[in-house]
Amino acid sequence: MMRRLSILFLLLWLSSGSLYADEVRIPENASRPIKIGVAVAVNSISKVNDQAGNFEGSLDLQLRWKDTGLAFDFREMGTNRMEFTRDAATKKLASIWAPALTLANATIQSMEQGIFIYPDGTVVLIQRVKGIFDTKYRLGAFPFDTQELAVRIVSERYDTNQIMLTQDQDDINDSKLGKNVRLSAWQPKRLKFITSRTRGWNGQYFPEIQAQIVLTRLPFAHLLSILMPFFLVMLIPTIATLYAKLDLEKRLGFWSSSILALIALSFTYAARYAMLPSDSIVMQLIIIGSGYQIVMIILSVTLFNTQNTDRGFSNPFIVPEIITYLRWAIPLVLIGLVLTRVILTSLHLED
Amino acid sequence: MKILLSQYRKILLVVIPATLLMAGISAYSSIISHQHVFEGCKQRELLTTSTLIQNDLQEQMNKAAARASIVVNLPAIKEAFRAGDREQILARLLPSFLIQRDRYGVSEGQFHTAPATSFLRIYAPEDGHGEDLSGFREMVVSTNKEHEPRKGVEIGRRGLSIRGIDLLKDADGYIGSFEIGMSFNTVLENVKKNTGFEAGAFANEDMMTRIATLISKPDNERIIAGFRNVEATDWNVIKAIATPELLTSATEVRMETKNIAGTDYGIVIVPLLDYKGSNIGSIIAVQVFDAYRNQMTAAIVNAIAFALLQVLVLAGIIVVMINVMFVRPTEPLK
Repeated sequence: MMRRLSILFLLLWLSSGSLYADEVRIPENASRPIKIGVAVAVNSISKVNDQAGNFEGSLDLQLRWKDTGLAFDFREMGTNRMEFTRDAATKKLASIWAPALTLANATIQSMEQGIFIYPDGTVVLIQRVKGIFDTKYRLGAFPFDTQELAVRIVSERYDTNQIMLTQDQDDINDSKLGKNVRLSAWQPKRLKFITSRTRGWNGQYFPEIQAQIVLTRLPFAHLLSILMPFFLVMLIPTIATLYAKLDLEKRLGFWSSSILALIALSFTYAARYAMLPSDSIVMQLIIIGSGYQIVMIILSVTLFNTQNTDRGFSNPFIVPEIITYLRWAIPLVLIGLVLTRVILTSLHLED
Repeated sequence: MKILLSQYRKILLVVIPATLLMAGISAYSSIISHQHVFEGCKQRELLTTSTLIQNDLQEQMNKAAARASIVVNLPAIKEAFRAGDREQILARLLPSFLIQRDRYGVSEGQFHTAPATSFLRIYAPEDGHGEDLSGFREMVVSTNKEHEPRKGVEIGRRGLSIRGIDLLKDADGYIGSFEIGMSFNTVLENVKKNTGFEAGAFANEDMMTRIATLISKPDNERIIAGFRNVEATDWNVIKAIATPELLTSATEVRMETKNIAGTDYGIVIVPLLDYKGSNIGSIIAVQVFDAYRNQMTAAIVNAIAFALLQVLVLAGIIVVMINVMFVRPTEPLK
C-alpha cells in the first residue's frame, strides 16, 4: 500500500514539475520586466449581441519584444528580417521564449500566426484570431448608448515583475479599426487601450491590457419602435376622455384596455430588450405610462364624471373651465415629459 | 361686456408675461448656477493635471539628482575619473545604466570636467570626448564654476532631458561633475495613467537642431511653429490640438477649454524653462471634456422643462380662475 502511494506521489510530483518543462525559459540576460509592445488591429466585427453579452469578430494581435539571444548578422543571413508563417511559426514559437499572453474573454474559433525576427533580436508575433468575445454592455443610455467592446489581453504565466505590457507610438499606429468594420445598427468610432493588472490566485499581480472597440448605436429605428406603440396605447383613451362626450363606463373601458395594452407592451419590451437595466428609457416610459393612466382614471372618475362634479362644485363654470384647460395641458405634459426623458437619456449621463 | 373683455385681456397681458418672466429667471439662474459648478469642476481637473505635471517634473529632477549623487559618491568611480580611465568607469557603470535606461527612463549619463568639457557619455562612449559644452550647457558650466549640484531641464547633444548634476570630489579636491538625464516619457506616461490626459513634450526646434546633434531629426509633421515634439503618449491626439497659436503662447502655465470639430477638449500647457529661466518648450496635455458638456446640456434641458411646466401650471390656474370669476359669469348677460 505504502509503495503504491509513494509511486502515486512520485508521479504527481513529476507531472507537476514537468508542467512547463518543455517551455523555453524567460531570457536571463534581459532586464526585467521585459517590455512587451501590444497592438491590436480589428479586421471585422460580424455580430454584436448585447442580449448574450458578447460579440463576434476577427482581429490581429501583435506582440513585440526584444530577445538579444535571437539577434543575428543580417549580412550573414542575407536578410534583414527572418519570417516564419503557419506551421513554421508554430515550430519557431515552440523553440523561443514568448510572453504567453491569452485573450481572457475569447472563445477562439480559428487562429493563424506569424513571427518576424529582426537583426537586433526584436521579435514580432502576429496572431490573427477569429472568435467570440464576452464583454460587458452598459445599456443605461439605450438606444443612444456607446459601447466599449473589450478584448482582454492577459498574462497568466508571467507576473508584473517579469513582463510589462506597453504601447509606444509604433504600437499605437499599428492599432486600428479596419475599413471592413461595418455594422448595420452600429457606427464604429475608435479603438482605445487601458492597461491594468489582475491579482492571481497566488497573490501575485499579472499584467493586463484591454483593447476597447468603441461603437455607437444608431438610435432611430429603436426609438421609433419604442415610442410609436407607447403613444398609440395612450392615444385612443386620451381622445375618448378629453375630447369625446362619453359616459364613465365607456371611458373606464378604454382605460382598462389601455392598461392591458401597456402591460402587454412592457412584456414585449422585456422580451426584446431583456438586457436593459431598470432605469432605461423603456422602463421610464412604462412608469410614465402607468402614472398617466392612473391620473387619467382618477380624472375620469372625478372631474369628467358629471354626477360627481354637479354635487362637488357650487360654481357651475369651474369644471368646464378646468376641463378646457386640461384638454391641451395634459397631452402637452405627457409629450414634454417623454421628450425630456428621451433627451436626458441621449446625453449619456452615466458615462 | 367690452369693458370686461378688455380687463380680461389686460390681466392676461400682465399675468402671462409675468409668469413667463419668473419661470425664465428661475431657469436662467439654475442654468448659471450649474454652469459655475461645471466650470469649477473643469478648472479643478485642469489644475490637478497641471499640478501633477509640475510635481512630476520636479520629482524626475530629484530622481536624476539622486542617481547622480549615488554615482559621484562611489569610490571606484572617483578613482577612475581622477585617473581619466574611461574604460574602468564604463565597466563599472554600463551594466547598471542599461537597466536604468530600459526600466526607469534614464536617457543620459555624462561625466564632465571644468569648465564644461565632456569626458564620457555612458550611452555613447565613443562620442564627443573633450567637447566643450559651455556654449549651450549653462547647468554644467554653473555646476563646475560654483561647485554646487544643479537640477533642471535643458537641451543637450542627445536632446531635451530632465537633468540632475552632482560633483565628484576626492581627497585631492575637485575632479568634475556627473549628470543624469531623465526621459520625458516617464512624466507623460504618469500624466496619462493618473488623469487620462494624453500628453506631449515640445522643444524649441532651432535649439534642438543646433544642439541635439546626436539624435536624428523627426518627421516634419512633428515640427509645429518652431517647436519639435520630442515625446508623446499618442501623437495622433496631440497633433490635432497642438496648433501654432497654442505652442507659441506657452509662456506661462495655462488651462483652457476648446471646441475642435464639435468636441470639447480640456487643455493644459506647462512651459518648460531651462536653467536660466528661458522658455525652451512646453508640455501639452489634453483630454476630451464631452462629459461636462453633456451634464451641462442635461441641466439646461431640466431647467427649461421645469420652467415650461411652471408656466403651464401657473398660467393655467390664472386663466381658469379669471374665466371662472370674471368672464363666464358675464356670458348670460350677453
